[in-house]
Amino acid sequence: MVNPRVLVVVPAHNEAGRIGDVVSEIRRKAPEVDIVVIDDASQDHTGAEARATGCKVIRLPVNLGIGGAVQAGFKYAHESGYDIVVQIDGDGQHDPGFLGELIEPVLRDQADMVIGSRYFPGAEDRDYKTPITRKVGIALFSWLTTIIIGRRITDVTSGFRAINRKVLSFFAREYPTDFPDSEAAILVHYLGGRIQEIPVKMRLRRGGKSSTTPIKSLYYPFKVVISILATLLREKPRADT
Amino acid sequence: MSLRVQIVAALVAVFVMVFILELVRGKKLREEYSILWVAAAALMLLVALWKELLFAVARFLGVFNANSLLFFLGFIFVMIYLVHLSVKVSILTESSKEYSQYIGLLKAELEEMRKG
Repeated sequence: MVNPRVLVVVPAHNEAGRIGDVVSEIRRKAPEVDIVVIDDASQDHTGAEARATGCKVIRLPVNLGIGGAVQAGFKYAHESGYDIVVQIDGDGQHDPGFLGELIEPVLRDQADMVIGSRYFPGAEDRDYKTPITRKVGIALFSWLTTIIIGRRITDVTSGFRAINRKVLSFFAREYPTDFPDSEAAILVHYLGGRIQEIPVKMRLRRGGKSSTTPIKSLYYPFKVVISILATLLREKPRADT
Repeated sequence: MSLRVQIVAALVAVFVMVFILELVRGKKLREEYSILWVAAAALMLLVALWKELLFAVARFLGVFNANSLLFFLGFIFVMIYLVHLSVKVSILTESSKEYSQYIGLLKAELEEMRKG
């Protein structure tokens, strides 16, 4: 890919006091990319703080959750003609230092989606402590995804991803609203897209609240199983550019 | 409960399950709304195939006629689902209000920009 335009989508909900740091870290470690913060109807000053950094901010008037917020970023990226989109969460867990490695396979046209995995074999992120309730769900879906795709995916819930234009145009039209990461890999596979993982280290969020609640953790497996079932039964989607 | 009733109930449960999943597949029903139905159909299938379960629960609750327990449970399910939908509608109504106001403000800002 020659002179690719790269956009980093930063979904954020109630990350006041943190979002400024997230944006400046991206600017420091990846100065050549464009940034858009998706202010997912935050009730605090997330939007104002993001705007103060000078990057583009899209404010959603009604909270959509991570899936809807990131898709808003995808729609913007697609309309604006970006070639590569990277998702970096607004809570500071993703380290932009890995951005270069993340987009490398996409630049070389070896992959259509690259996932930053905390559980990459041989390079597991030992500092990142996943709560036990989520570990079980994650393990279950790693297994399910691996079976369906026929390729080992070690971190299905990682939002730290890079996609190319082919995947972007599909996601801009269709992207799951809850727990998108788990299904996204399967969707890309059904698109005929190539998926790769690279090992990354993530940080725990610096403060504020996670959007996962106990009820959601319970609901998550059922919802994703049904979605995956539905995806498998649908016609294979066709990508346009 | 005769065997015939069990078979009919099991077939209905399977039909409902397939119908709901087909709606999800055809993108006419979102996954989150299908979960209650799938759970209910699964439960119905279980009771149809294992009638002793229904009898045991009926005995435990002091219900004389196990069939009326079935109807009662069906009614409870419909009530739960209606409440679920009412809550969703309330949330959607609130969202619609927010979108409407947001769009109105955007348009006003746009017109301001055009003038200036």
